Amino acid sequence: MIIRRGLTSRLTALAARPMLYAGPAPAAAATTTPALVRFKSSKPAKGGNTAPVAGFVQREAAAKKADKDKRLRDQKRKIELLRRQARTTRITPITMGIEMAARYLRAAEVGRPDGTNMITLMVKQVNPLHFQAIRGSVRLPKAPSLERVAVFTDNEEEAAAALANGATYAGGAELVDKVLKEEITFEKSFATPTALPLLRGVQRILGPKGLMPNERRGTVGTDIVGFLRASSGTMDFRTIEDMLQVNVARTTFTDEEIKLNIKALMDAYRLAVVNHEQRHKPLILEVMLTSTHGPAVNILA
Amino acid sequence: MSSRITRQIAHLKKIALGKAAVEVPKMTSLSLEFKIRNSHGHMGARKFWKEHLPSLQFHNPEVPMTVKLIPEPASEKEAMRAPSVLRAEFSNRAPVVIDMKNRQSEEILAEFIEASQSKPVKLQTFPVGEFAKIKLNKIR
Repeated sequence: MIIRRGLTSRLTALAARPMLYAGPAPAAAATTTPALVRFKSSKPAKGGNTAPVAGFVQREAAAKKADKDKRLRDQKRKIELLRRQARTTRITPITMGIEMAARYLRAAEVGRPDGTNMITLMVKQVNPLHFQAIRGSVRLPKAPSLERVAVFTDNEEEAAAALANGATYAGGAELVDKVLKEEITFEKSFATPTALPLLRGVQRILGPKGLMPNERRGTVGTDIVGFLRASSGTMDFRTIEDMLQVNVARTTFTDEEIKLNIKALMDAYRLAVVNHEQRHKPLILEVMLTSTHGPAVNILA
Repeated sequence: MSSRITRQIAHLKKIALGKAAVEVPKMTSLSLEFKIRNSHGHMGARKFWKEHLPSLQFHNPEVPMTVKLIPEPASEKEAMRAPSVLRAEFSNRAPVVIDMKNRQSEEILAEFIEASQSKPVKLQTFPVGEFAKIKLNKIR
């Protein structure tokens, strides 16, 4: 008796939940018969709410949409996979320290003229969907470009300060003499206002090359060290698709100089990522070091 | 392993395990001088630079190695006279000078190894050295 009572109560409970047990079909549904139809037309009924049979254009559009959705889904899946990879430190067979990487690159660039032997740092990142490029600027401790700067000044203290701050040549009358004899060449020049009279003799040599300091161009002033800082100064970088590529050093630099430059660049890059406007930030997948003719190796930076 | 890594490994092996993987004791400098074009027997020197000098530099990292390319001379006479010379300086003995004209790179290398009393470096695979296993900074 107890069992039967339990069963009936359960059945009534089921009947109360129509999703699970709908009970017998309502009698009304069974009794309604369709109107007598002799010929069933294949055309949609006029004004009826039946769905129209898809034509070629609609089918094409639907296929296109499905294709687009699939591509988006695949892209998302790929991004998720790469993000998972980026969250762990990957040690590949070609991962090495910066010293060893530099040794390989120096070997690969042996005998090449200084200036063509650039070491490039590549950062591969995993971008979120609809990603905008990362931009930033950095001031490397030792600039990799081979730019010679001449500073004309009649003050010896200023000349010494200029040489200490990255000028290749600095001096007064004796430097002008050297330029006159065409013993030295350079790509940039600055001068103090007091040294301008000295330069009248070399105007014909420097003028055509665009190297003559003048006030309108902003290359004449008393703050020579400031000029030098600004000129060798900041280097801009930006990512192209999922890659950042920046020249960080030359193979003639010492290991320590290369390391400091790489550290400065990576710090600037990370800062640029943090300050990026978009909510979803990219992750670093791998960091590579390469040179003009050399192999590309992974480094941990 | 992706094909990119395989390609880089081949490049690294060529540098570290090439035929010129030798340590040259007491060498202070090495310089090559030859014509920029291959004609008049200067091809071997150029090949030596491209194929063997990277390995030599890799196994002798302290030694400065220079290559001087002579611009192509205007006349035939001058081109005949242009030098194609390898010169290695040593701290304890006379320099080794090898004439590279009309010779293949392998011959030049063999003569250099013999004259400079080099010791071959025996390596199983390309060295990757020690590196600190630091964790990459995460950006989230």
